[in-house]
Amino acid sequence: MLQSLNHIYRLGVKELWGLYRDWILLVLIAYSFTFSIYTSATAVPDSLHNATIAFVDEDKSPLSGRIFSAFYPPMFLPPTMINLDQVDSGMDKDLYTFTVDIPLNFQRDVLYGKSPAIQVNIDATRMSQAFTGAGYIQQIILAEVEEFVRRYRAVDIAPVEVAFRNRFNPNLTQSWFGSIMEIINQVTMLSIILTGAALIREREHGTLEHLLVMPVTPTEIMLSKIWSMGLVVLLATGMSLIVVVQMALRVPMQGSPALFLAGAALHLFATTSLGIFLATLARSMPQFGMLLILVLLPMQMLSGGSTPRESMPMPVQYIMNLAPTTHFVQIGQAILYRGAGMEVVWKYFIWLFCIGAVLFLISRSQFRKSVNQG
Amino acid sequence: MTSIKAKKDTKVHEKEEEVATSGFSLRRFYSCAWRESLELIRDPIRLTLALAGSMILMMVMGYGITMDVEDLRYAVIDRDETTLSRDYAANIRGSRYFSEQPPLRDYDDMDLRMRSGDISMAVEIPPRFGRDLQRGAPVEIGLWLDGAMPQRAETMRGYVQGMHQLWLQDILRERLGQEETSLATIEVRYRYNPDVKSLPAMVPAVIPILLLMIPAILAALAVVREKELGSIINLYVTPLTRTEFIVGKQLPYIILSMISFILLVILAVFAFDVPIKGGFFALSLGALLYVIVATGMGLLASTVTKSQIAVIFLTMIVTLLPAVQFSGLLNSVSSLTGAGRTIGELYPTTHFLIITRGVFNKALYLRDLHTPLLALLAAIPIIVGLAIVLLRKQEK
Repeated sequence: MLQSLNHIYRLGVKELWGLYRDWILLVLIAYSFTFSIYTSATAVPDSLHNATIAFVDEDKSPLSGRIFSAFYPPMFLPPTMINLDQVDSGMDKDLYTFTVDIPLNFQRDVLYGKSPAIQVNIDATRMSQAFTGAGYIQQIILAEVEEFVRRYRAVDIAPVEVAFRNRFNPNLTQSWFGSIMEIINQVTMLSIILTGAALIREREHGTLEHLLVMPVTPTEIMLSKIWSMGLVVLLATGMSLIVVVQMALRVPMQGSPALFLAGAALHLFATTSLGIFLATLARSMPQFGMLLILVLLPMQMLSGGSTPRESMPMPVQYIMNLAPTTHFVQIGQAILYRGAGMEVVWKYFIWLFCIGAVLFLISRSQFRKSVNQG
Repeated sequence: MTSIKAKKDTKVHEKEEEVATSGFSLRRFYSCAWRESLELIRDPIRLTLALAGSMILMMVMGYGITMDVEDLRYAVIDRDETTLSRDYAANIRGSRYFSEQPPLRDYDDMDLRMRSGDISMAVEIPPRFGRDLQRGAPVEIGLWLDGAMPQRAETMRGYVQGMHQLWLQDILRERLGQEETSLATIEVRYRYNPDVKSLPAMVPAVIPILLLMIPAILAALAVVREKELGSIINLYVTPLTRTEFIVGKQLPYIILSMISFILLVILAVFAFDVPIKGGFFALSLGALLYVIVATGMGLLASTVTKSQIAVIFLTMIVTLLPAVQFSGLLNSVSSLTGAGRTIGELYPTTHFLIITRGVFNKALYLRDLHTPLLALLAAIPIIVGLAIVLLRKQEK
């Protein structure tokens, strides 16, 4: 037992030396846990931002001018004035996401109480802007109209208001969300590549044979790769949390970072096992590359880290329960944003442990088989 | 006599050879491309993974990525318990966007359930809500949103505001007999995708991601693999030029990616029922230019790395993040800020995304798509040229 632990330790240190000598890989790891996370976190704006909008002003009245000038940065880019026949071509060419058409005699009809209609066209392929943008445009236009009419006669205001309060992230700052989700993406990607590709490399170079003629078991080889690469990624994650998330982006962390890192360690157990599993399926690096994309893209896009999980179709939600990222995203959101403790996240920890254990056992039997064949 | 002639012949031959070394030899290019094609064809698993993989991914992501924010879990705390307050709660319950959970008992309950992610919105209807409303006294409904996912919170806020306004108008008109006509109305038309469904918007958007990552990684490995396993010596010691080598490596993967493109389009049209409304020629031309760029990016990544691990990692870094986050897949490029915006504007996926969405959703043709096509065309000499220049003819 003690000897076995010693083997696992030595082999792991060997892995670390291998990584240390590949300076390009080190630069890439540093890049992906700093710049990559910073860019990703700061790229997506907090709410509607720089939306492109154009106006067709058929009325040319003081009121329509007022509405036109109510749209300004940062929510909207300065609006463009266009003709009616430019609406279609402009939207086709992606020049404007929104176009607003103020009809002839709009101001007169408003003052007569005829409730005239303004037409708003929205490019619905821009899904993230379409809904929120439509809401803001309606609000802005109606507010301008109301204020304009108020100068002429009294207006009844709706007696019931809704007081919105945002919990956990009062101003809905997007970088709070983006930074942690991007860390999760990088952790997953890096850990799968480091373990899986390292195993394939050993096989392609024949150094795996060297290992196998030594008195070490396949399980020891696997465990050594898991701890060493897991440790590297865990350290990078911790550094990134402190340097990028806390210091550079100034994201206030609600819960305990240590608990989050514990979750990350469990997640790494699952993803490094997954990396080894993929490496036993693939016979060469290009095959591994294909498998990697096949697994990584859905894990990243459907984990609930980019769009809300509860809105996905039920079958997708069920299948994604098997992906470690789904649970790690939940852990990240619960601990770091909502300040939850073990009483909330324990079930995700259990999920991660089970997924990791199953992947580890499957990949161990696969690895043994492939070794015996070779 | 004959020996002199033979000597002359060899001299001529040598001369030809010398000339050919400096220029572009179609024969050497062809043999390089043929060699690479054979390697690809004789690895059916890689081939299948590349083709079937893109189709599987399209199924999973086209179906799974959804921008429809719906089935949001919320709970109500009704401190009024009158017909009006119940009517207000029923109004939210009736919406397809929300799915109601058991009512909240108190603030502690609300806090716990929000923290655990059980609900993402809480509605508090204050005491005397019904009475104050009928008297016309100001009333305030409390609404708590889980800000952990800012965009989800933003969307929920929009939904609730809309439902609130409609409910209020109905109530004022029907129950209280007040005629509240709005000053102006706003007709909203969602174009290109009238039901604002995710699928028609997402399927054309997934194609550019798949046609970027898979070709890039295959092409990158094609070169670095030779470096790592040593067969790159054929480049170092034979007259094969760098251009012939790079373009020859690229060609089989361009053909493979175009086959993949055709399969993806068939899948989109027949399995997902997302018809091609615009010009298929423009789409195909865009795809061809785009896969040349994509494979070129892989080759470029291969020139700066020596190990296959590093090149897989590098290719994933330079493709995954920009393609998924900065190219307008979820958020339009004009709305981005900082370095992400700059990357998004330059990145080839942005331009191909305009083409796929334009052709699939907006019924556009070649004449409407000059700008993105030219942008892709311009990227080819830059990226492939850089890959050729940076490739070394001799190991350092």
